[in-house]
Amino acid sequence: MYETLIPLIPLLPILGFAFTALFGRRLQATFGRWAAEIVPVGVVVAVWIIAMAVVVPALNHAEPFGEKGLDVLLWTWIPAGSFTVDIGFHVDALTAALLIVVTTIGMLVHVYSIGYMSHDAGTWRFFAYLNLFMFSMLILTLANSWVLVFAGWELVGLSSYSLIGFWYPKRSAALAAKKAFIVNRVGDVGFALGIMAIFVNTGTMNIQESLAKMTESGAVMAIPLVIVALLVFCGAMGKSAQFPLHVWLPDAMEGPTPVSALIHAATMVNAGVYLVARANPLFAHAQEAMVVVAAIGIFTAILAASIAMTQTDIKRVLAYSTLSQLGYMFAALGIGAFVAAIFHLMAHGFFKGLLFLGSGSVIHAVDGEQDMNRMGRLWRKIPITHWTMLIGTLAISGIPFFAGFFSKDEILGEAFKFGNYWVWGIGIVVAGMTAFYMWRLMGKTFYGESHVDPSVEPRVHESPWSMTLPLILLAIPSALLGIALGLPFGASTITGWLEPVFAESELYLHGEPEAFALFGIDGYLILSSVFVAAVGLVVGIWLFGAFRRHGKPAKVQQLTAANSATRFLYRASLNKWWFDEINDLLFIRIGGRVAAAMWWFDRTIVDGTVNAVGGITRDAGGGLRRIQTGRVQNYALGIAVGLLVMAGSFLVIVSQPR
Amino acid sequence: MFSGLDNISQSLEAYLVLSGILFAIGSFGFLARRNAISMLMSIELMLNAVNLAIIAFGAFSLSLNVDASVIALIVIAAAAAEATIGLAIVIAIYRNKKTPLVDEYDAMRQ
Amino acid sequence: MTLPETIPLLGFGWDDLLFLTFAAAMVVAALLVVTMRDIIRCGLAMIIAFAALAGLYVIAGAPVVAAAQVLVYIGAISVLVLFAIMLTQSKIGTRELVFQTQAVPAAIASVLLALLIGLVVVATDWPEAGARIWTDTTELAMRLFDQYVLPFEVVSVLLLAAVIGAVYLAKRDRGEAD
Repeated sequence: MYETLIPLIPLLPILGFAFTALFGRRLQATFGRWAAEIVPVGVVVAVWIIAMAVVVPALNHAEPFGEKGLDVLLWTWIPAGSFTVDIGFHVDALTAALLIVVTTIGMLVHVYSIGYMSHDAGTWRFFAYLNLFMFSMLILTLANSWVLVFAGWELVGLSSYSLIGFWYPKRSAALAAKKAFIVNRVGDVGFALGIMAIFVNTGTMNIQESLAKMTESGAVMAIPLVIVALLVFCGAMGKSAQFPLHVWLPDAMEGPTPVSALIHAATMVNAGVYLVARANPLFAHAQEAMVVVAAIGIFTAILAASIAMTQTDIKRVLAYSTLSQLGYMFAALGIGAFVAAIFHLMAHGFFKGLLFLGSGSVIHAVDGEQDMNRMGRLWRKIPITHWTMLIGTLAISGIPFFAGFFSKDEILGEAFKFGNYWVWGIGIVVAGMTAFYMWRLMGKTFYGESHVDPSVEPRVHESPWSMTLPLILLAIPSALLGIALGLPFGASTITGWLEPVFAESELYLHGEPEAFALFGIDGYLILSSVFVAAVGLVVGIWLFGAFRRHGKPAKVQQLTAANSATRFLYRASLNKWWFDEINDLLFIRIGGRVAAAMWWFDRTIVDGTVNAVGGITRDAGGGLRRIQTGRVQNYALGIAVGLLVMAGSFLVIVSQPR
Repeated sequence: MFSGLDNISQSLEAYLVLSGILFAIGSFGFLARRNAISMLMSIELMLNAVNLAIIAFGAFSLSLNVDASVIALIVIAAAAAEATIGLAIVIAIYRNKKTPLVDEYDAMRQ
Repeated sequence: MTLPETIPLLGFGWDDLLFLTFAAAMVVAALLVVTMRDIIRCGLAMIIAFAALAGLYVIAGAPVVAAAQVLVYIGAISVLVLFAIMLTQSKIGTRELVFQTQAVPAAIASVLLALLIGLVVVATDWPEAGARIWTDTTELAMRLFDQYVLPFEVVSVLLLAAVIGAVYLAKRDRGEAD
């Protein structure tokens, strides 16, 4: 039964895409928007149902999944001797965890988009792209061979490009889409090289097989595992927007908010985390690479958090927050806390998706305004949005018993216990910053004075049920997922689910895990992270208000202008630490010069050589053409000369003494 | 003084060398003359050179003796046929181009 | 009076003298054929060359072939050539160049060709019979009409085809102006 169900999961969305792409416009024009929407949304709901049916036994290691997962082979795509690529799917607990996030949030975003895109003329195109994206992401998640993962990888990039640049007449949107694709591509080069290295090392493209071969004890590999791991991580850096390839994610907010929620919070950016988690045996045996992963991850976390504290666009704050949380996940992967990373991935998917969709609802309510300085005092007017976003904020800040608390705390706890004190220290600081800037967002948007444009003010209204229902549905796991999966401490449900995937690597890296000591070291760690989050919240409430309490904008002004150091930090943060400018200088200016030199070389020398060859051939032909006189006597002379030469040389050869 | 020439008519080489010289002269005429009829005359010379060689072989080899004469007769007949046609062609071309000079017969040129 | 065995002064036999005479005549005539300016004179030189060849055939012991040579070559082909020359006379005549531009390479090639053949002939070890063998005419006739009757008939057909072809080629088209 599962052999049929599992292929349906990616198959239905691609059929939905094809149907909507071919007939969507006609349907929408003839019957109205709902006619174009019914197929793509229906497809995704069906996929969710099937996925849940597959996920439950997979997570519990029931047959036929077992501990290692189920392999479903569809057909052999490239049978080229030793380089054989199959179209096949591998479903184990890790896949199931991703499937939950992808299909649930995908479904909710589709439903949300019905309401959000109801004023747009190109709705059919939007849903077609959304279905294409679902297909790509599912292929990536389910694939059992590296080449297929790469195919899904690229497709996801393409879908993301189409969706970010959905409002393509707007120049900034088109540029942002290009930027996303190009930066992704830079990472993809590394990934492709990594896949080639894997093939050189092991001769197989199957993920499970190649990982097993590379991590056999005593195996000697042609290309060192550290290099392979770093190359694969390049791809993860690009897709999950880690430093220095993080510059595309904030600009990607040019796309419609459902796109931001789906792709840039809950699914596509998780592909990098999934990749590293999937390749965990490779990384476990290449510990230098893991150090790099952790370093880049935690650095991105603090970099992004520092920028988020001063941004004024509501979606940008959330974008940087996503970068920061992804940094956490990579840091977790880098120190060997794989289960914690995946747990945080799942929790983050839900509450970040909630926050993005909520922000979309806010933007919808204030008629398209995205600048938080022109919002305020909205909590009475859009209550459902407000309360759900509050739950999301508490979750991301790590307040006890909401989802983020369990996952974030597990990461920090593991960091400390494995001895990675740097990661723990920076992570604690970031946790505080997270709480602070999230409350800043809430305060400026919902509380305090109303700075809403007077012409818009009377029209502020709650969103339709198609938008608020997903918000409510997402608020539930944001609140409860942690409790469901993270307890009991030390032997949590999610650890039980994911353990077979990571057990070997974790054993190799850390040895037997210690017992959880709630009243010992672990208790202290939990207290410290809660304390820091509380501090962040309190400062946020003090400066930006809560409910009826007003914020203190004057105080904010005073603090940021206090001395030259704070002024510099404020400006740096506001300007995103000038990374875009650096990239522009390095690659566009300097790179442009280099490119011009290369062009000169190509034109003059390379083309010159080719043209010279052609010229020589032409002149030779022109010269030889004169033999063609058309006169028989000339030809006869040629025959005579040839005869003489042949006979003469034959005689010479024959007369040589043996 | 001429004692080296003694019994020269008895030596096969003499006939063959003579045949070779005649053939070379004929080929020179074929390659170098401008008039088409001169070319045909040179062809006749070459054919005669071949005939001479055949007869020479026949003269000095008992088994080939009669056959050589037969071959030579057939060659003469074939040469006659060829000369006929060749001259007819030259006349036909002359009628067209008004000149017997082969320089002008370059219609095969690109 | 019988002829002496060898020619008194020269020291070689009468046969050899005849051979040398005919050979010289033939070579000189051939050279004249290919080098003279006036084409009619070339034709006449060709006749002399043919005659010399006939003599050589007799010395080589093939009188039938010699007779055929005289009859066919001198009697028919040479006449045909002379007729063709007369039919293709151009007014410009003797003022033209005799040789092509490629005459010099042609001369070199011809000389090399002669040398090549000469060298091969001299270098080869011919198993000679010693004396010239006189071909018996009766024997020749028997061979020709018994064993070689097919080539004989084919040659007849060939000559017929040649005649028909020549007539057709050289015929004036109906309606031609001249």
